[in-house]
Amino acid sequence: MRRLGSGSASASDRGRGRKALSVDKASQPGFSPRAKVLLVEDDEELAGAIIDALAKRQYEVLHICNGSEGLSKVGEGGFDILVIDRILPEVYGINIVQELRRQNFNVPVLIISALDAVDERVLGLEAGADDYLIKPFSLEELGARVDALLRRPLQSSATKLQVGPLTLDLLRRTAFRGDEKIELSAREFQLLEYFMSNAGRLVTRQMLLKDVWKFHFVPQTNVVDQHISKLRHKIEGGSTSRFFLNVRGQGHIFDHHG
Amino acid sequence: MAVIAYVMGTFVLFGFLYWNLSTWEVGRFRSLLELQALGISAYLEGQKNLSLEDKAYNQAYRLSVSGLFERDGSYAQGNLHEIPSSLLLDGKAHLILDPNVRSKRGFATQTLFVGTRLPDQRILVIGRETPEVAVLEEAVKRVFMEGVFPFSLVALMIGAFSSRKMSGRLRAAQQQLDEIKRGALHERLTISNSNDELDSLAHSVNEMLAQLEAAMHELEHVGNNIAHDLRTPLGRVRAHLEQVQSDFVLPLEAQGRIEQALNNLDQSLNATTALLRVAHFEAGSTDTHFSEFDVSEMLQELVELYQPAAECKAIELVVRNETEEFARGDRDLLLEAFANLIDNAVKFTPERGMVEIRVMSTLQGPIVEIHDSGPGIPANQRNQVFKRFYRSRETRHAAGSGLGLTLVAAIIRLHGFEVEIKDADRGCAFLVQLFRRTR
Repeated sequence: MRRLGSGSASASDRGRGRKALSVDKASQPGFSPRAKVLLVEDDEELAGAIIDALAKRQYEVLHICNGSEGLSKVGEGGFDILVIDRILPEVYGINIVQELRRQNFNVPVLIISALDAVDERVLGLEAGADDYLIKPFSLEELGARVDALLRRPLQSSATKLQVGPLTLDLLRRTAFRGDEKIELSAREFQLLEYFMSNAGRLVTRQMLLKDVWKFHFVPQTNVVDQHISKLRHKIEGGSTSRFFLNVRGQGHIFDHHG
Repeated sequence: MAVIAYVMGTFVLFGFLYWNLSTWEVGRFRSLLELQALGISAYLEGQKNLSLEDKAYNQAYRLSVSGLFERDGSYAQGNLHEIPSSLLLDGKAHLILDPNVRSKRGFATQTLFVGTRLPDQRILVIGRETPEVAVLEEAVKRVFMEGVFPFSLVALMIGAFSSRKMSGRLRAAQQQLDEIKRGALHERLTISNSNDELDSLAHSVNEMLAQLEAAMHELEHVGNNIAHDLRTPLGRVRAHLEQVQSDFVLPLEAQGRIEQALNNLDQSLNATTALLRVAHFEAGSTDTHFSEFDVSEMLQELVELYQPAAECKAIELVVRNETEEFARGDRDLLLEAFANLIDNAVKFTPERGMVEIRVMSTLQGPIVEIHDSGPGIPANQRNQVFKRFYRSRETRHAAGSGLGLTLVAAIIRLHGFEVEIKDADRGCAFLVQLFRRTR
């Protein structure tokens, strides 16, 4: 990839500025960042945008431009999550992941790449990455994926989920709104479980396809929304409670919106 | 075949040679003997006491046998004691096989006899063996048995061996080519080092394959570069638009336009992605993630995914399968291909219609039929629907990149499977063979 002279210089300044800002914020009393993110991305313009989006989600971001420096920074530890470009100068992102896993670092890794052939995706995951995002992605999608990766360990221990009047019993596989039982199909239960364990955060269609259906493609017709509208009908129907908030073009935020 | 023709030819040639030589020899003796009979009978007239047993006489005329008989056929003199029964007394030479007459070599030979009545009505019979003909026959037989026959046998064996070896090599080459056709472009034909025509053909094919492989690699490389060079700036554009959307409070109209821009951007990205993937599949380099999977289960998952979409249009969407069917391939890719086909079927089927998916089992493997009650595809357009960006005039308004079926065809071809559009009473029926066709 080519650097674009002055344009890219200003972009990189901006990127650094954002990074400083988020660190400054973090050092202010009373502010505690949700997590520390190491971003290894050589496209400074894109990196600036990513830092910006993650900072808005209260993440502290350290940005590194090349692979070898990234590798040594990772080795120092202290990061909660890694966001790494697949193709980097010096050391490829995929090699960083391999090296990390070889040294038994369990930090979650999100690979971002402009290559999207199925092979490439499989390669990334085989190397030990936890998730894979194809460029260009929406920043909301990236933020949502980072949120999801950081939440993973918590999710497994819960046996009951509660959002407002909704209760989901993960062992008995039952759903209640107040005292009223809601009849759900197996898929609807899975969907609701996913939404409830990600309550208050953006859940994108891609995330649902990937995590609930285990599909690695995006269907031409927007079939996911139709599943959601059926589910919404079942859990909101006949009551005044509203749970699904549609974020246009992005996905849904599930919560007890009143 | 050639060997058999050769042996037959030799056989005929030898037969002809033998026949010609022997008739020529016999003919020569025949006329000689007839002349001698004439001479002797003239000589015998009046010389009643001439002895036929006279050695000098016999040798002079080179007669093997001779006998003089009374007019009633009873023996008078000579070393022939009986007139051969089938002999005509017409003064002409006749070939007769007389078991009483044995050659000096000990084998029974045909003897030329001439019988004639002298003017005094006595009967003269002279005979001459034809050992020359027998020798000739013997010689031909020997040449054939000791020379031609073993030689032909060896030739036949060599021929069989080399033709077996040749057809083995051809079969091996055929298998290698099949392998290459399936995408193993690194494969090469084996060179046997026998420097024959097949080897030089294999050399040419290998050179061609090397060029093809280089071109394919280049294509893939270019494809990846395009992907990278195109996605990176588009990615930045997308990020900027999103940032503007979230960082500023925009009038509703501006929000809408940004939304529109993002949608269009995503659409163009999806098209490039699909194109690149088609090119990638057509290069046939994905062969590593193949596994055995349950076809019905896969289709059931897709039907579940598309059920709400079908319900929206009151379309009945069902899978019917006769038995559990397994296929071998990249499940993720085939899932995507079938998703596209079902997507299409649901999209083009009018309300209260029907989309029926059937899994049929055949001896070679499963066949999946996706039958919808939509408008169908005219026979003359069926070949085109799998081509890039094809949209029929009637469907041009529907959403999509026009690459869905192209991607389906590329994925199916990558596996060596087949997809075709079948004639249906109503609507459209796609038939997908989930096995490689064997010749």
